[in-house]
Amino acid sequence: MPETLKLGLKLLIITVVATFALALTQMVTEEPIRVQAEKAANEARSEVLEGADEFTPVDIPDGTYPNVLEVHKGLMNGETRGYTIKTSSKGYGGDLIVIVGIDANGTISGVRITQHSETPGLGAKAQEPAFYEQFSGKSAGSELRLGDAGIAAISGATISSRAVTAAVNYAIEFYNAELAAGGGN
Amino acid sequence: MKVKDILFNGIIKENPTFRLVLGMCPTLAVTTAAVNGVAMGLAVTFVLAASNLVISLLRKFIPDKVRIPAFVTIIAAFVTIVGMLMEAFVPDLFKALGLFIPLIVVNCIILARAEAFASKNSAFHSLIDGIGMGLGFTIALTVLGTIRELLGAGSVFGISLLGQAYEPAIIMILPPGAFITLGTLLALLNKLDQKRQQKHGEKA
Amino acid sequence: MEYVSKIFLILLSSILVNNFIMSRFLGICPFLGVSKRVSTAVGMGAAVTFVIAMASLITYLAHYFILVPLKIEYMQTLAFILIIAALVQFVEMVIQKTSPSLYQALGVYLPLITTNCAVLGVAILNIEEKYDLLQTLVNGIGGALGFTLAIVLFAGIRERLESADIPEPFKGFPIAMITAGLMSVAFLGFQGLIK
Repeated sequence: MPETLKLGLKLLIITVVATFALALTQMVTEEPIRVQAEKAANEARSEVLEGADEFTPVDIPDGTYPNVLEVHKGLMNGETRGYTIKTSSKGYGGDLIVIVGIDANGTISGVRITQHSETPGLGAKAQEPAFYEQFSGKSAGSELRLGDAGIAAISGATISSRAVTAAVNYAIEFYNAELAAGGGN
Repeated sequence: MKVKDILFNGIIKENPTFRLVLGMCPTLAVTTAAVNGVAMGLAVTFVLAASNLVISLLRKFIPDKVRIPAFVTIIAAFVTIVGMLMEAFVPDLFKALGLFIPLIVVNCIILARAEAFASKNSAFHSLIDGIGMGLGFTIALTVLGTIRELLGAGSVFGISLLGQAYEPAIIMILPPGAFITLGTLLALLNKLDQKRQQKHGEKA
Repeated sequence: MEYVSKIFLILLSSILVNNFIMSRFLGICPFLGVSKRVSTAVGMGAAVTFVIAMASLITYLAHYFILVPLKIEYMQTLAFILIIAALVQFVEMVIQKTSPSLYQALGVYLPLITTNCAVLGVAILNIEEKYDLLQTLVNGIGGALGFTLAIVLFAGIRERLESADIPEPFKGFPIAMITAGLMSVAFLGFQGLIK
């Protein structure tokens, strides 16, 4: 019995020391990780809404918009510059997360794909400016459609292109219903 | 045992990827680009060196019967530390390697070296062995990543080399490309080995 | 109804679309090591399925009832791997008692399930994807069935390869890798199955 006890005790000591080492690292890295995550998020937001230097979160009504993940109001020198809306849709390889910027005039100011699992070299081309820049400058007044509204699909990746367009439309829908009339304060 | 020999052993003679064929999951999964290969290799090198060192220092303290759980605990602690540090200071690489950071824990190379080397050798030699094996792994991943990125995306370390005229063979950066590239490389090494042995045989 | 279809999608996705071996590269070691005979491949698949199902369940409970309340999520990797190691030990004892022939066939590979990254990988993925308990189980079992499917198919091919005339340098691992690569091309076809 003492033998087993000794084994257990030694294992316990190792585990306790390991836990302490982890807790210490966690304490040291917690702040940098938070800062990095916030910096990355703000960078993505100001990429689609140029000029905005401050972002405040906007509440999303429960249950009505399952595809809208996050909404932020972008401010420039304290005045509303527009909104950034993060949405998700189903791509070819899985969930696709898109961030859409809509400025105060109701014009799409930028679209970026922040996360995807599309096929490299095909659907993943949605991440290239040649595709996502097509959305910039379009009016958020009505839904966009692939093809006729001047959004050309990526050749060989219609499903991915459609998924990005759908994600942008979720943002447009949210914008028109909740934000366009000056809501979202 | 000389330091040089231990390093040589890890990098060339018993290269974990090309010779021992260990740690295949991250090898195949993250080598879609050269830079990912380097990052993964260095993360593994750090864990391997640190855990080898600690396990060697504790080799008299750790009872034989519970050595595996003890090793695993130590390795897991170092892996978590690397993960947290990477998330804090190189978040882009952390995102690119994703799930395969925590999975360094179950990389067979690390447990194998703990069992085969660190639990029997001095702390200094174990540290060197960890570094040697880690570098061997890093080199292998970088080679694979470079080949796949070059053929599959026409670039190396993100720098376009083959120009616009080259139509990238997308299959190379998809899963099949990983298996086929590694298989071909292994066959090539076998071929070289045979040639060397034949020469050896003729002389003898 | 929506929930049921989501469960079904997770199942289909984990078996075919995101197959552990063919598209996620989890569990390659046993895939290459225990795939020389169909019969041992089936045994390995069964053992892995059982371990993954149990591990998914226990790590889920450990995460949400111990790590989260105590705010020590950073202990996840350490806690999960210890749970899995203990579980494998337990399964090994059970198989040794109940089926000595299976025990002999799986031999050294059974303790290696601990270092099968599929087990730890699926446990971490379940938490990352924020699955609930049922989804966790479905994802785990589905993934393990996908693993079994791939390893058994692969063993079938390798049995035939034995009598094939393979160039000398390709014998062993190289031809196994290339065969796996061709299988993986076939599995690529399942991408886009789920919309």
